[in-house]
Amino acid sequence: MDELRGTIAPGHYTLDASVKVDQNGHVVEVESTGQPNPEVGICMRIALRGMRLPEDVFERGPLRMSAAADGQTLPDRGQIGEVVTVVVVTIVFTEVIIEAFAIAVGVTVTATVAAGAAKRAKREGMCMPLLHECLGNKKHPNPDFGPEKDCGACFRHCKNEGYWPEDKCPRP
Amino acid sequence: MKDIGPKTSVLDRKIMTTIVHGKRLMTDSLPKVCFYCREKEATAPYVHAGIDEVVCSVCLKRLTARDALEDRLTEIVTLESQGRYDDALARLNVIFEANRHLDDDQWLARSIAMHRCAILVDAERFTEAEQACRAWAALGFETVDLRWLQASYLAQVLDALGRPREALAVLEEALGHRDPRYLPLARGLLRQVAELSEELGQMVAPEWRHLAEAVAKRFRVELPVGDTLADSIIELAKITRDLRPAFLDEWERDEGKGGRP
Repeated sequence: MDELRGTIAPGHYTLDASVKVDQNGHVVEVESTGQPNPEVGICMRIALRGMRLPEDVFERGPLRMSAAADGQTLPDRGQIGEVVTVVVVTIVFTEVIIEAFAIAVGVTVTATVAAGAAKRAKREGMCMPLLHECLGNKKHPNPDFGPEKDCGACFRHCKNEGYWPEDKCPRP
Repeated sequence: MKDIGPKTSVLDRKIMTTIVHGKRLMTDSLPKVCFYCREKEATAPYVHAGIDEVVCSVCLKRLTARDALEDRLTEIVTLESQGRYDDALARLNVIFEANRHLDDDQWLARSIAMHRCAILVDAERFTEAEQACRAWAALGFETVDLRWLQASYLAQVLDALGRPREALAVLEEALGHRDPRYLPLARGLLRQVAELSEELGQMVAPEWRHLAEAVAKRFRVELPVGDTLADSIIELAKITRDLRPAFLDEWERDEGKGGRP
């Protein structure tokens, strides 16, 4: 902002950025609109490319409302890339306000991903080995749960819930 | 001489065995009770995936159908993980068609319906997923955890289709069915209830507080105090994310309960 201040008129700008995020949460592609001038757009895109969405976003699953989006809470102000509020439906929004030299740029980031895809991939990595293990030893030691483990159902629970149901399918 | 476990008599232990197709064994003499149903007389041995027991003819048929699916489950979920959803669904259809004559108790039909529902949700093919998840429900549920799993999937689908009110109703109906054996798995449904209620701008029905407290207890924590019940439930899901719930017998010991739920 310091470098660009001579080229931007004071005021408030709203910048919309769409980012694509890989399965580890790293931003791999950025598009932006609404920037006060092309240099700011380039600057934002470079900064956003260095971002990584926190793992917590993937793990928490769908969050329905953004505090900032419904106007109840103002977003914190911070550096480019700081995640202040997050909305996940099948997309992720973040809103960051950058303020310097009487110029305020509100950045809305829409991450079309992968929150779901990343979570699924992570759970698959956890649940697949447990499915293998279960299918190799199906006898259930606890008669309360029947004579045999239902490994397929346990795998589906694992992928859906994020943990292996060890009562239903105890590990050997 | 083959030891087939502590539940067998001296006579049973004299069973001589022969491997057939690497899996089934023929016997010279037979024990009394089927390992699987614990009711009918055992007529054949069953050796597979860590199980070395004797079963009745009905259960042998049932287990053969089960194995037909489970022996290919890794392949199916691998296809799914590669995004080859139609290939995974086609494998399920082939398995069902080849083994439906063995499926007297509909275990195979229900399990395949479960995987179809899950795969279509995974594929985000929500219109087909709704049909598949409802088809699963139409076959009935053997246990409460499977009813909850189906409700969870269906609610995700309905929400994605822009019908959150229906989604909430599906979850609340499912949570009306209980079984302490599967209590920890209610955590995910409660979180969905909380999120959908927030989305709809309504309070989580207070009747779910007791259930949320019971779930928290299984994870050995207190239900967090929040401004709303929804906040408490969402926080509970967050703080227990990496915790293992108490096993049923541990929980019963903690609760001072001796018998089955």
